[in-house]
Amino acid sequence: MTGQLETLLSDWFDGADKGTLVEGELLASEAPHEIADSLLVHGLLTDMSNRDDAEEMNRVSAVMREIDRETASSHVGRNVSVGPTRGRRVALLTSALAVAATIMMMFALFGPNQNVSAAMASLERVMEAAARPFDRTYSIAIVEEYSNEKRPRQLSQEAWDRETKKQLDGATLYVRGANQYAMTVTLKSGEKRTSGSDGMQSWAFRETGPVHISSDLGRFRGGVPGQQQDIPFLSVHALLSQLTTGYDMERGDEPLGVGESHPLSQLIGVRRSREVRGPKRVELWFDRESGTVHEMLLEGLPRGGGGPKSLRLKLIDQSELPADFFSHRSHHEPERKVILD
Amino acid sequence: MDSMLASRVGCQADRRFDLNSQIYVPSWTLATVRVATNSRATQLETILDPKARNLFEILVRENSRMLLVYLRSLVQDETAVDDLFQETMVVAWRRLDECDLDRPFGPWLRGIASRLVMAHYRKQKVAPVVLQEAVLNVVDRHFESINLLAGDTWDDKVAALHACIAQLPERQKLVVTGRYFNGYSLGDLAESLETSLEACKKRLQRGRQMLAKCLKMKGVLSAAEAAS
Repeated sequence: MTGQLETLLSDWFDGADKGTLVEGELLASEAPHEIADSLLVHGLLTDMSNRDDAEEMNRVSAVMREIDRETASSHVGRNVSVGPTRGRRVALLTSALAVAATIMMMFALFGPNQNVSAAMASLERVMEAAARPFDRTYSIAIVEEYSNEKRPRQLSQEAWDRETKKQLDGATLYVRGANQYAMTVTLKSGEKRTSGSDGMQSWAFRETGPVHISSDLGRFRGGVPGQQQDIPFLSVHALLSQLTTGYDMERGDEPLGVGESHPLSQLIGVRRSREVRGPKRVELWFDRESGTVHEMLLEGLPRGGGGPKSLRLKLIDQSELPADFFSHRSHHEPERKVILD
Repeated sequence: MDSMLASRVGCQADRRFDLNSQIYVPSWTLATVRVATNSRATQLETILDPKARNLFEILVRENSRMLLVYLRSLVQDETAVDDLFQETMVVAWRRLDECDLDRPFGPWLRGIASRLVMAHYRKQKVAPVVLQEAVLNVVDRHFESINLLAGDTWDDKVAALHACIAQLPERQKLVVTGRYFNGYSLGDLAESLETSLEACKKRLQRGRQMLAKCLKMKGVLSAAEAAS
């Protein structure tokens, strides 16, 4: 390799001014193999040093989201493009159809439903992200409690008694994909109760008691706010699914982290009717790139299941947890008695 | 099953199409039309049915490392690499109906990527003098050579690079590992090695050349290139 070629490549890879060598083009045309070799080695080394599996998955997800978005927005165009093309009358008809389609598209883009469509598209993206087998850790904070002064007429004594049994404030919820979770709460007695699911079976145990396991994944969600209202709080993915059917969704105008590299977008869901059993209002903030939910506010939780009036989940960590973290065995000593419910 | 099907999908390397076209018709619609109009219909119908999106996702996953290395070979700005990666895949999706299913997908994807890379440099007002067609053709042949190597993953195929780095003379190994793996600037490296910046740059370039030679000897890069 000549000194000039070396200089050309050094400048290309490591110089501030790229390709400034006057003879550059001539050199490149005379030595394509040497240049190609160096380019490839540089690519391999850069790739090896930047290797990040999580980032690679994000990259692929971003591509597929973009494709889904394009696919969804192209339906009107498709109808026009496959239309007939022969004959003047047909041409006129085609033009008319094109105009109609354009008007429809403009209506879709700028009409009153725009926000709703965008919200549903965002919600789908968020659900897709929630289903991915990544680990997320949320902290739970109670925003508002129901008044304990007087038992509401519609609340049974049993539910009234149960209402204050658990201390959710400050609890931590671990989630992996659509159906694995683990959470520990402090009971009124001060004892801790841990429950979870590894996706195959659900489980729960108190500090001193046996481990109960069940193939019914919803078996041990009882008593957790929202669970008895068809909106399983512990499964973020199931909660999001519920939003698609029982809630009117719109995009909010209170983004979080504006100015940061990944500002969070807001989605707001309002319960369609009292028939839908769940919180009256759900607000969530998500990373518009990855779709990951960073914060969720559940307001007006029905009282039937006990628990607070509203609470907030906040993403505090996305580190990978041990592979068997969502198995009950990871949370108690091996000799603990196991009961199959 | 899906993976096997996807791995058989191929596209003709064709750099003639207009990358700026934004017109997109979902592939399964095209497939339906083509079923009645030409002989490629049966092939396309196999691929471009309503499962096309999922099959394409498999293709994206299977080719993502290759495309990243390709882009990183031609572009040094990591943000631009990310953008170009997404743009390449999206253009490939828009043009999926132009695939020749008897040809491999990788070269077609790189054809799209190379045009986008050139457009990127034009936008930056940088003359990519080293990225001439003849150079890109050789780069492409190297990628094909890697593609033919044994190994389930990209990492398996290029595992020899680790051994080649280990075999580098100490002078080159220091600058190569410092520059690529330890994140040192060439200025810092030159200072710590008590040499000039220019000497350091040349030492690094020699290191790249040695690695290329080693990779050719280990069969990672094509034998034809080794002979030249």
